[in-house]
Amino acid sequence: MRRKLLAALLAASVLLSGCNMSTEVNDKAYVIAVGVDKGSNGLLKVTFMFAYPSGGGDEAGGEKVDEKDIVTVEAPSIYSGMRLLDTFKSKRIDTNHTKLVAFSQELAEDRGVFSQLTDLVNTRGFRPSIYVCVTQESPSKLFNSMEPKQDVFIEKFIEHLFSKVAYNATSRAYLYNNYFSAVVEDGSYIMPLVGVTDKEKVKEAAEDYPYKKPDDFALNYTADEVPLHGDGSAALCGYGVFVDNKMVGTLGMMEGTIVKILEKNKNVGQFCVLYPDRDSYANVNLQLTNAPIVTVKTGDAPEIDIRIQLWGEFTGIGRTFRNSEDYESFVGYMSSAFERKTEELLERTRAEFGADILGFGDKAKANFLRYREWKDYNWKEKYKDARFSVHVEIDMNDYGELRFSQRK
Amino acid sequence: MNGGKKIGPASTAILFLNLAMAKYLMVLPHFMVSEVGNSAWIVIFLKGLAAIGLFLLIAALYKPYVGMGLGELTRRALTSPLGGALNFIIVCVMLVRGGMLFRILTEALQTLETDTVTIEYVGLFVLIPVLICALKGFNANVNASILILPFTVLSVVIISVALAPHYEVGNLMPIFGEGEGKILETAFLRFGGTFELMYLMTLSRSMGDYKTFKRGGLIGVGAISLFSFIFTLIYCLSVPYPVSKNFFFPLYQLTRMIKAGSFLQRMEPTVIFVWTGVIICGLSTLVIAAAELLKNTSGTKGGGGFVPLLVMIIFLVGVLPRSELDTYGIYKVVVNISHYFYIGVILAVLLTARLRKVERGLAYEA
Repeated sequence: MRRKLLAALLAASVLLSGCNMSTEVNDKAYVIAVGVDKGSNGLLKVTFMFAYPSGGGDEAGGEKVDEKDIVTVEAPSIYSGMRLLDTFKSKRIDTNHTKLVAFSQELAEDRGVFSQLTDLVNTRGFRPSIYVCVTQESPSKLFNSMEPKQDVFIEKFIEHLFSKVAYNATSRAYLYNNYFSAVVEDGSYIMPLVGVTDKEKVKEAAEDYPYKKPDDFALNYTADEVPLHGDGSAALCGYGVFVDNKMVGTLGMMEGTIVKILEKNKNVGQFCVLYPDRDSYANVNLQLTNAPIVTVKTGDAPEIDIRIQLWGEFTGIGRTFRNSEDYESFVGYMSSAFERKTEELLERTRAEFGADILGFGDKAKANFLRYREWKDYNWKEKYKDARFSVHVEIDMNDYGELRFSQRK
Repeated sequence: MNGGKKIGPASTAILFLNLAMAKYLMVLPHFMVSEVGNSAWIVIFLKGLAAIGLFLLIAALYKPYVGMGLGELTRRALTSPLGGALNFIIVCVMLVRGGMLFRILTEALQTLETDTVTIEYVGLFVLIPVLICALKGFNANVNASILILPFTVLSVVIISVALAPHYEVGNLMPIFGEGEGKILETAFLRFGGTFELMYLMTLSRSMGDYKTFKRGGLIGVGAISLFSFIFTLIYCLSVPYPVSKNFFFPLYQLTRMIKAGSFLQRMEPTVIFVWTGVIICGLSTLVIAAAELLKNTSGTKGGGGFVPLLVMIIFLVGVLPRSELDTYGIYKVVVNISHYFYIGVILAVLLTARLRKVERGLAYEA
């Protein structure tokens, strides 16, 4: 009897659950991306891009409709902006599927974005694994420029753009990574930078491209310079630099690649390296052989030693090497060019930004036993006197040569 | 309440894990990090060693009385009125601690699943199964724990593997955090596992002989120390200090951080079933132990009648604090004080029983 009663109760829990508190997918408005810009009177301009349910049906009415629904409101915070949306959006606002939060460069430079990051991390509406970035243009312009031609949905476009291995901004683009860096490193960190390609800037850059540009690496642009011919398009390229939680500068494409190497991303990617005489170029595909070895000595002036081992192959050489010396000399030149670029970046962080934006402090901490000692050392000030030494070793394969046979 | 059957060492260990899991996985890492920073993993490791040592000491003292139950032993060792009063105080401390734990865990459930309803509503759905589980008795409770445990272990394994890309050894530095003194103080001056040990002694009537009690207890203490150590290390490796200090519910935050490809993300709704199971089993064991103590104090035949009353008290105590923050504050104070209370009570009762040569328990085998 008791078993029957228990079985009846269990059955009732399934059968009588009903759908009183259910929410249909159709009853919600899903925010795919949020943009935060500087507003008037200390307010924020909060832009929401909504997913537009595709597949026709009553809402589409069988006609072609614009697949983006972008709304901008002025409010003190993202959440109060969402509250305002409730006054004119018929559906319930849902941020569980939000992929991206973009902060405008103007806001980042003027007020910083730390309070927004804290808001996002400490509430459950947004997931900590969403992407965050700085946009050189206003968020509404950025969202309008996102054209998911290869992707069916805009959310997939954002997901693919930020998680691509070839560029791999992923680790730096996660919300919690940015928040962690902002808290731990005293507000010195970098955040992925998105620009909308600007025809004028592209034109200027094109005049130097590729041979006249005074650089060892031909492809070295900032986000809005990427030479895309045609309509302006969103480009993820480089980083925004934050010091004391305010944006103070940007890192370009090549600097972004060095960040990627220092963060132990195995696939470094394709490079277009100019020959020393700048007459032609070689294409190389590089990978990390081992994780870079970073040693930090914490004396009166910190000494940071970085050893990078790369392995790669030529994918196009532009011209034939005359002999093995010629070949060796080019590989040596390439290594020293990498060294120079890395040193330039590190020197920039020290002299121009005066802050450890790349997180060498994590390594320096290991030299101390207690938090108190680490605080007393005052890494933030000491970093301004840091000395760097960089050693890059590149091991190139010839055509058809197996990596392991070459390395014995 | 125990159905008359005796349980073996494995079930005893599971019972111990059952009691400790909710606290050690869901609450303790945050407390430890807020005390000593990201060297909390060292504290947990030392606490584990201390808990094993403490268990062996108490097991040796308790040897002649296994099978008697703490409540009965207290009454016999300290005479009826004094022992009864002490049992009643122990029950009160248990209920306050249980009430706070209930509130913390229910808040976590509410945050995860149903933010639109009140805490009392969610609490009701936790306490009804607790009531049923406690009424069904000790063995049913152990059986339910046996079902839940593999899923709990699996969820911890999945979290630790999925978070591997986020591990940063730099997060553990400086290695001694707030200092060696603070680490040693937190590890050794606040005894770990005394609460669970007291339960185990209270329920020892259902454990057969001393061997079962000792082996089961040792496995339980060892396993929970290991789990807790691994989980705290994962937390400290994944979340840098001082951010780790600010996350109130580490298990939830860590699960939210998981994003391994398109499929392995948004794990919290999946593991919430496991956490709910752990919470229900832990609270129902607490209720059974408290009922057993009241039974011993009052001299009634069965303790089942106390169960609905105890569940109601836990509910009422749990909803008293105004906010989750207040609950954490009260819980922290209660935990810090009750460590000394429990260890004091256990040692006082055992030493008095030894000195007064209290009659040995029935299950003791020379």
